[in-house]
Amino acid sequence: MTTSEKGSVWARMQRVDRRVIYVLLLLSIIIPMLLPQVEFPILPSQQSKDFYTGIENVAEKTPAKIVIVDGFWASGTRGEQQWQTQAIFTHLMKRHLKFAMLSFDTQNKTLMPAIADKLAPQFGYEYGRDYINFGYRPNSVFQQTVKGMVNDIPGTIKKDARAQPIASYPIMNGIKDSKDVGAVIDITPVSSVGVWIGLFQGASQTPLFYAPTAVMAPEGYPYLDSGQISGILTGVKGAGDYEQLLKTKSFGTQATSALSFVYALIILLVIVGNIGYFIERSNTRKVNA
Amino acid sequence: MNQFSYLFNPITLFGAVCTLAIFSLIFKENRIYRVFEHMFIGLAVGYDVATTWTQVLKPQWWDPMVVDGQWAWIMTVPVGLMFYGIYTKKFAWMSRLLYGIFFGLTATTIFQDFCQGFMPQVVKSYKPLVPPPAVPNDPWASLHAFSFVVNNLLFMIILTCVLIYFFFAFEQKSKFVQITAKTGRLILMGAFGAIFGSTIMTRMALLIDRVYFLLHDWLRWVH
Repeated sequence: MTTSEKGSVWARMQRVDRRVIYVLLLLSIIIPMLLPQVEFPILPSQQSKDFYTGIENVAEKTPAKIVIVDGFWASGTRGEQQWQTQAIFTHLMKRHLKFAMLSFDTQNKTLMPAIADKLAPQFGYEYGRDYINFGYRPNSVFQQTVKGMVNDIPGTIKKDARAQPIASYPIMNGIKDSKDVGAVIDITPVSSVGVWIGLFQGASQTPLFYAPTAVMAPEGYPYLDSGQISGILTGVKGAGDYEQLLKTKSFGTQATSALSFVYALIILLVIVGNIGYFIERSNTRKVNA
Repeated sequence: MNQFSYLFNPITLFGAVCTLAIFSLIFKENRIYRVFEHMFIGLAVGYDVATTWTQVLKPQWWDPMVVDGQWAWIMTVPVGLMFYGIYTKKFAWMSRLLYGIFFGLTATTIFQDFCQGFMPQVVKSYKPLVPPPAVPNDPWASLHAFSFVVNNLLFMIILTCVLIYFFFAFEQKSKFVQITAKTGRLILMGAFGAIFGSTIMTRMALLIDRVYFLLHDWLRWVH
């Protein structure tokens, strides 16, 4: 086959084997991981700063209230949301805020409490005194559970994940209804934040924080603009932002740097691909003319 | 003990094999991928079924009925079975009865949900074009006032353009309306592009996590 039959460099670039792109993609992830000194700077976004400041305000203004952390995520989005959860729990524990975990996914009931249990000894947190696991509720009763908690948290939840009445734990002293909730944090890959806004927040103007996967984040922006949400952590980038704000370093920071490399590669490929397309089209027109 | 024994830690090794088997699809369709895909689906369904029994049905229905003697819970069985009436013409009325009750119960909740969810957004859509009084001793007061007006004006223009694009009550004959609607469509396309960027971010983040698992947890090349 002659060079002219193969086409120009630009024409051949239109037919690059997708596996070559996959290899480039993998390299753009592996290189920053193996060489941590090669990294992009991380600048926390405004919505991540709002999230951080909002939790700080809760710690200062309503330290005795409980924070409800609602988890919908499972192994499918663990790559983003495990790190968001870890960053959020670290902040809550640093500020000595009491919190309760509530899972609406079968896998989440194991994954989310495991992170809290792992971090607890570092901050002297004790189960039942500083944090509690409300356990799992099926997704089908999500609305009913949220609505029930507005007026009666112990009556709605009844028992924790260890099958003990939640009212028997010291953490629940004085915690009756939504007025005793300092904030709600929704860590989720689905559209659950609307239910918290619609059925829970209005009763006591409880601050609401949203930690979605990146793909779901645009859904939260109208709520952020209207003040119904106090802050958003967008996917693993949000986790990286939060680690910066907490002055800690974990996977979120590494992943955000790798993500920047991947984005740079994708942008480069899109530009090269488009230039090739237009040059090739122009060449074809000249030949046909 | 061999210094590379960590590579054969059963749980990590199994995780690594599963990850590589699922990723083998990007090279080409193959049987190993299919086996692991079916295994993953089977595990997920089995886990869900087991959890539904251990975390929901047993503690909230079976134990109160059998252990605590609250036998009235048995009535939930025939009521639940009524849902299956939908599969026969003769007993379809039974399921309709239950659906009717559920619709009624849910409607009020949805109404509250809608009002509290969307009304504040409607209210906040009317943004002022007159800047608030400047903060004392702010050296950038005029710049802040200018950005306030530009931001809000931009918001109002975009909102109007997009609303006009979705206004189908009359034929859009006027040149002005056509241009406005077209601008609205272009803005929407830009927004969809930004949303697609977020989608890529999620997919890449999940890939990064898996690569991290292979390099950190299994191979221990990354610390």
